[in-house]
Amino acid sequence: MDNEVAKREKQEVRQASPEQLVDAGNAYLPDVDILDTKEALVMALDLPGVAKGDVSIEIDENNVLSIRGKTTFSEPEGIVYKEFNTGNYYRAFTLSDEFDKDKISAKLDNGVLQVTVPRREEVKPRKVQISA
Amino acid sequence: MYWTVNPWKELERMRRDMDVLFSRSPSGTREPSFPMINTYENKEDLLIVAELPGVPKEEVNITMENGVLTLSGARKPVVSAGEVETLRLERPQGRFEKKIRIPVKVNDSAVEATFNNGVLTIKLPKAEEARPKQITID
Repeated sequence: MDNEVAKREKQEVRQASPEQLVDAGNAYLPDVDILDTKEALVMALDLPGVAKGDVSIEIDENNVLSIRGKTTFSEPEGIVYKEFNTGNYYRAFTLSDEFDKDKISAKLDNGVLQVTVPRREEVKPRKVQISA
Repeated sequence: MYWTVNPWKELERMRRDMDVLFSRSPSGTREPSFPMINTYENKEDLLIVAELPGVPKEEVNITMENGVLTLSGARKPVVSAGEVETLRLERPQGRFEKKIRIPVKVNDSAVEATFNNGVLTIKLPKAEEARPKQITID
């Protein structure tokens, strides 16, 4: 009977979404590169062990962009040498008003999440032609 | 009025402590070179797990020579062309090479590697003579 309960709990935990499972308190801070292409900010986050579908990207009313990743890597038995701990990832960034919250796009490839945050049209640099 | 302690220094010290707290490396170890590896051992195999996010499979070279496993390759920047201003660069990039001495005899021809979500797992089956033997009491 107890066994049955344990089994069910385990399953529920596994099915939990990144939002339910990952918060700042139980996750690692992934390395990030942030590049400005004038059109947009391009962010790259290292999320090794995270599969497609196990990442959530949210932006709240205070322009806080939060990224959560749930790892699928399960550590084998018998550790003899360790350079990294495994676990989930969480990182948040505060964006300024010049970015378009509704047009954020992202792709996950080979353990790297690339997030593109475009500038709003009206703040993009524009070349002004000087008429004769 | 004097500052008995330098508040900026204190802040800096706090920041460093925080970094240690959130670092993925076990405390007390120095920041490992890219890629970070973990090693596991069971009766039959040695497992080398390396974190190589953003390195395409084709860019990873694994060689085994004289009991030394060499992992090499390159990681390219995400946006390379055009006018780009770098605001933050935390991810190591460029060429890398890491050598790991394998202390037991392994069956070189049966080494397998898998790559999933940026995590490389190399399985090195131990040679017959390196496996533990169960001795039965007569």
